[in-house]
Amino acid sequence: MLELSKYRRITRKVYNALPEYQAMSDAELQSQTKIFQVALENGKTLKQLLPAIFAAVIEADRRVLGMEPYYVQVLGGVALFFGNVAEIKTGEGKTLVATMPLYAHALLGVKGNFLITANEYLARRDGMEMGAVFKWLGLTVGIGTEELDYQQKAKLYDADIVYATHSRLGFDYLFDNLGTEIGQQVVTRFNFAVIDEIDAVLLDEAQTSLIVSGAPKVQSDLYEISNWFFNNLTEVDYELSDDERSVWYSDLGLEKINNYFDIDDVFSADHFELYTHLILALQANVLKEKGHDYLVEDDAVILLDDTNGRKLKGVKLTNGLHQAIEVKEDVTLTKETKTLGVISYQSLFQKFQRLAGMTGTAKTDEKEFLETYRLRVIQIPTHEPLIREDQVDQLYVTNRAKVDASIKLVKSALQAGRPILIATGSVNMSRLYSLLLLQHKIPHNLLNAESAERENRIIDEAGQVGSVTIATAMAGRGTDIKLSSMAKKNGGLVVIGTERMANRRVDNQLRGRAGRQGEPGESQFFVSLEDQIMTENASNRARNYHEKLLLKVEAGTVEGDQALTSLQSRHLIDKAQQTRKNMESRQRRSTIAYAIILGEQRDKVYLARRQVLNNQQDEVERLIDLAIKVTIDNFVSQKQNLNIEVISSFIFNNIDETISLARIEQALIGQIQKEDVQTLLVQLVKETRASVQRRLSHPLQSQYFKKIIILKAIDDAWVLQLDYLQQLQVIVNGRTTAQHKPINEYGIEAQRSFLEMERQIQFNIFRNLLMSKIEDNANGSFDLAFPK
Amino acid sequence: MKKHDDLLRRSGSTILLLLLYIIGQNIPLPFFKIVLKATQDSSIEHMLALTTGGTFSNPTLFALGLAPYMFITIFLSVFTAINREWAKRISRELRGKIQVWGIFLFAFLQAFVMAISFYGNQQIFDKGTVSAGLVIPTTMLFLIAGALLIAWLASMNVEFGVGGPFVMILPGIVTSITKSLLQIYPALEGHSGRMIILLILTVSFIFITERLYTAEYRIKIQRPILANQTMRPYLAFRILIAGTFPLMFSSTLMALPEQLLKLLHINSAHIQAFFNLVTLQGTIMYAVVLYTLGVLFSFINLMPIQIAEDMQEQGDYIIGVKPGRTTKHYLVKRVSLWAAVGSLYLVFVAVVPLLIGHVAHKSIYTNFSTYFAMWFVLIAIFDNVRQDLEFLYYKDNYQLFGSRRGV
Repeated sequence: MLELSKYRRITRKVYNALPEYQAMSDAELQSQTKIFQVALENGKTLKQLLPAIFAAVIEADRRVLGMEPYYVQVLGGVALFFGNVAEIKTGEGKTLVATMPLYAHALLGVKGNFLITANEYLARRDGMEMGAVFKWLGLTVGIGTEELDYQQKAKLYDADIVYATHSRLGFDYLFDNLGTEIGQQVVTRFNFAVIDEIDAVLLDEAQTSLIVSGAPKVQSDLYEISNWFFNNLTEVDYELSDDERSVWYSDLGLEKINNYFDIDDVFSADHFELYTHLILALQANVLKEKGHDYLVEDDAVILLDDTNGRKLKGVKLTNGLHQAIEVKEDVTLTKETKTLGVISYQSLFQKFQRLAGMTGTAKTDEKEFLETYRLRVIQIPTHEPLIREDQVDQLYVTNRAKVDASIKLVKSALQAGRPILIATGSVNMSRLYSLLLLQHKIPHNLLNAESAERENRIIDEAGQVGSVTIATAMAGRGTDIKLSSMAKKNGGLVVIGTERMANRRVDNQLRGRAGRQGEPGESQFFVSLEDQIMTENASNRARNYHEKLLLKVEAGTVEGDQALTSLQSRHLIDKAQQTRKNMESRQRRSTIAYAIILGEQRDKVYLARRQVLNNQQDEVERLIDLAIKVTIDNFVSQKQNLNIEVISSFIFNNIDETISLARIEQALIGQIQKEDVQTLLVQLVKETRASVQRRLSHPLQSQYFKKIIILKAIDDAWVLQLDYLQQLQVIVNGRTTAQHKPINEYGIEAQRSFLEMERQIQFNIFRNLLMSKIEDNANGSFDLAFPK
Repeated sequence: MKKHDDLLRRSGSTILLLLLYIIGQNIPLPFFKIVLKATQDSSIEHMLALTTGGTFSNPTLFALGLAPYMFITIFLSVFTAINREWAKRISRELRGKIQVWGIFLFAFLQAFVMAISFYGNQQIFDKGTVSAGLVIPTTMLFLIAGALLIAWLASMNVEFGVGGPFVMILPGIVTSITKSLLQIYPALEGHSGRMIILLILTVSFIFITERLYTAEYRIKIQRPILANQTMRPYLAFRILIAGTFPLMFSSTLMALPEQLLKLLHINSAHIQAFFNLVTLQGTIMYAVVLYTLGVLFSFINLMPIQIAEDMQEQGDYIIGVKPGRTTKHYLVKRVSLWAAVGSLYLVFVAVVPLLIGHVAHKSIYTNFSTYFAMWFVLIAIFDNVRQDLEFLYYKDNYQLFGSRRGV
């Protein structure tokens, strides 16, 4: 609250400064940018100049866009400037709000100022629209759209202000650090970022990292047979946990496994792979539901996002589960791949000097924002007072009763001439409701992940009188339903929630579709004890209560189709949602702790890569010399290596396969001494190295070669390390029984394996240097083949 | 130098908090006199003070020590272990609130008993001067405030320091060391041979106990969700599963009857004999209590049945052992074995000196029981501290191709 009054004071100062800027000519106003920049160079701070800067942008907005920010929008801009999460309701014009703080921070001239949007469409739309103001004021604007080549990317990230999606930024950063292109990196400056829908990015998506994958793994052929086995099972062969999130084979099922596959004990060490695939088949068939967790389209399995109902492009489940689903749905099997680069959103955005965000729903999670990201949530009041009526949830015992009650509301709203938005929890539920409405002869539109291409048209119609739109959570964030004047007169949009969604924020996002900008509107949620939020998160007590109620309904002592009104009932749903939130919060916290350790290692590796790319020749030489020394030292220091077989094998596989055995034998007669082996190896390496050098006649070629082999060495080892770290996380969690803190275990083991990786890199450099095949091309260039 | 920044900061915080604790230990309660000589309190009280960091005979602000905090922490972990479903769904705030109110409650009860005991202790309080109606509530108020303050120091250490909350016991142990040594010293004076024996015993005890305390029993398991099978996942638990909990609780349990009797103004030498470490009955009672608590806490700390159920749910299994009932039996058997071993060791360490004292008719040997128990608790605390320090030390101590390598 203190913060808000401070920002109000600043906003007043802005309005005091405004007349001066309103009186300026176009040319004068445009020259203000230069004036501000000079003032900043001469020692003034942004904070001191803030009122003037904001006044200039406000006036520019008016002249270029014809839009003058309201008081509350300026207030929001101030809140964003200082690095907060501004809770700004839908329809209040968030896009314009962001222009003020972005302009201010861009004046520092350090580049790296971003407006992070939720999708490419918004990046383009807002970038073009708001970009016009920045350009008019003399700054450069970059808009991140699909498919940019290197030059375009460099130009994009060199702009003063960049409009891009969070995934684009993350992936471009990862790609900067992959591969062996000796070019400049493009994503290097992180000054200020305003994240749109910040709660979706930092909270909902905190569990998923951005992963660049490639390097396909060897495929297993056990998927099909495991799936076939499952299809021969019945319900008695497996058991589900209470929350229906875990499944395992019952004793009967295990017996069947041993019989069908003709083995004694599937739990013996030999059958581990088979058992793994049987578990995957079980999980894919029992826990993952088509139309709820994924869709099948174009011979592929597409995952669905459970907070916004949209298709997740390019995302797959890990550790074979995705492949198990592919087999279940009889779709072409895709290969499992290795991780080449990974970064969490938290790691990515912590790179910024200052971070801010906007969303319509943040207050409910302000503690987490504060604890994890040190971001305060500032609620910005609406321009017009909010008059939407949010009705108390109606709770029913059974799904059936709930659905009937909701249809009643649909009919009455239709009669009153109000447009209706029916929010469902999954693609399947949306289809179900569609069928129901058809039965009741109510025409409607259906918006879900399957009909996503028609989204704009459906939304356009959604605000008309007589319009009924069934949607998944897709119609939540960012959806603008504009009402016709008739609809407004009749009382505005009615949002009917047919179940409580994944969390409060998604609920509130859906509610927020009605009552924009002071319009009339209403929201009513219908819930039943059979909803997913209850079955997955209810306490045992709640479950017992539910069962007792069901019995009472059967006995006739409780009306099955009446809403439950007792205080106890009301609390149940809230508690279930709260439980889920606590669990997710806890998971996020632990994920972030691990991501921090991984991030530190990643930063070190990327730093090393950069150094190699930018370094002088003698540095590169030093690295190679060191690698050779370390590798040879490691080899000779192990006593078991000091025999002819091992030594010659080492030489053939890692130095040069053409060296004659006779030569080796001659050099090492009698009792093999460490020093003799060392001398021999050093000599052989020197010779081989020289011959490699001769192949690369041109000095530039030689430089390039050396840098590339080092980079490849680092990358190969880092891929393995990434794999290891991701598995390690799972493993240390199993060690809590020894009263070790998992995060401590993780940190120590991760460091140990990092040092091992360093040794591996030295070894890779050694091999790459001596064993790469160089093929000369006619035009003087050469092709390089790395040793396997 | 940004290196080890974290490490130094955290170590410094812990030292600062310990200093605050020591200061608090010396703030006298109003109405009472501090007596500086080593009083001959019963060894149980001494043990209690040792394991909870309180100074039970001295009327200071921190007289209650960490006892309320410990009780509520142990109580909560037992409760959440038994009722895991409930634990999963409560928020951090609620858990924190339960902790604070729990500390208040325990502190209230203990403060009540202690206030009365102080009131009746003629060495530190002159009855004639002030009425009970004023002294006792005031004393209680201060004692409870002290306990809450200590709990706050402990949680500050968790957040900003190293070694977790129980590091706060250290100052209490230091005072106990001096007391123990003062009481043992007369027997050693002039007998350099005995001193050498004590030294050897101490060192070997520390060595053996340290090894035992950090030793782990590992069971290799298979985890299908792990794609990369070059990793060796295992289930692990400490051999001394129960840790120092039995010691902490047993001293309270043994001290309880005496305090109750004092409260009710009943004087039964017969009952008291059972809870006095000097008598044979007391010694045997102590052994029984320790052993029972040892086994109990082992099972509560580990909950082998719960582990087996979790494993089944997640699809993990021990090689050659069917998930479900078979795994349960497998784990229970092994946990029982180590629980028994660990508890026997504990009993051995605590009771053998008492038995010797009994046989030799020299009550001075009871101090050795306390003496070794003290080392045991110290080892446990330092293990915790070491883990945290190690993690912090290695966290930032490496660089790719850098000249600075870690271990």
